[in-house]
Amino acid sequence: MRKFLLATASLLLAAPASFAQPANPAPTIAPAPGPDEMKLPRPARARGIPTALAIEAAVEANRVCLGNTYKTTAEITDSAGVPVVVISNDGAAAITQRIAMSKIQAVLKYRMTSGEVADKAKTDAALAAEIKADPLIETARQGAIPVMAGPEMVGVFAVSGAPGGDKDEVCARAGLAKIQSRVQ
Amino acid sequence: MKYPLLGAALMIAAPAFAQDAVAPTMGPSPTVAEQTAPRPHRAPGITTDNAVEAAMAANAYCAALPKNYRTTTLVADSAGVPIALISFDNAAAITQRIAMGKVQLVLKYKMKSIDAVAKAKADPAFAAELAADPQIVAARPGGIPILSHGRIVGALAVSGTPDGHDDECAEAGLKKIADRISLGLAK
Repeated sequence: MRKFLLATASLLLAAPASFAQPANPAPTIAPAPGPDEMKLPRPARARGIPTALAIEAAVEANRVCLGNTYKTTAEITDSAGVPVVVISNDGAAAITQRIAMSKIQAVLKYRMTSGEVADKAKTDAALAAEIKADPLIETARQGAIPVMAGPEMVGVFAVSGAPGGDKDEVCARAGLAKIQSRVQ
Repeated sequence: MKYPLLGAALMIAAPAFAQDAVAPTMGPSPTVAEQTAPRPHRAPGITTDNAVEAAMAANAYCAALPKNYRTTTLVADSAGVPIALISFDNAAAITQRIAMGKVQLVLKYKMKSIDAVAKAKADPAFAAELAADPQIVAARPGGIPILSHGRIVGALAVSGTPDGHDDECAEAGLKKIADRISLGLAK
């Protein structure tokens, strides 16, 4: 527990500075695993949707957004927040990839759409403070929705890049609608 | 001068990504300063359609090998920004960060990561330099440059075969789209 807290504290210190470094930036994706981590067991992915469906939904979401002139990143994770696909459309800004993940984290942590989290944070100061203190969320932003198989959350779908989270959410919903009948 | 300190902090921080409580694979949410900074267009790279197709082909090639490997393929632009990250069914989460390590190596040293493996074996100084870079850590085969008219316009990396097939799958993925991006000799 203590080790974990220390690691989290280090992450808070390390993250903004290291990601801001121009010399050898690693945008979007966390650093490569070291030798110790390479030796750990590698469990299979958590419950999630098939990769083929995730690709189809992400491509559809980006297509719908592009139809509105928005260049977006669509990301779908499994139920543990591990990406299944990240697809960044032509001309999308790099930062949209990490913003998409922050929306996904909000859905996973609070079990509601990230737009609902953002609404709730407006009137709930404690929630707003908790979000701000979480480096994986930091700001609640609309644009991520849970992927449900009946009553079970089997993944999260986020879009980022439109000028407004409400516009992102439209594309995420359109992408999900394309595959929902096949999500089990 | 700040680098050693940052590096040390980052190395301590890295294992935190292995915990369930934090986001695997992706970097943290952008800070307020980052969000308000300009958002430049992507660096030169291949189109999203080509990236998705190549990544799917690489994963499919690996899955069709006798051991039915479950891999992640990452296609990045020439600045290392992902265009498509596609993790095949049941691929391990760690393969996503391993793939990014290979992409970083390819773009930094402008060579295939399999060639860097050979170089690191023969050149301890090179191996030490890789180990000191938290974005690379070690040379691992499976990352290749994407060339257009002799210029590196990105990198493609595969991770997920424990016995040395990543490179073969990466080449198969790139081959699928080669005629469309005027592929030069990937050396």
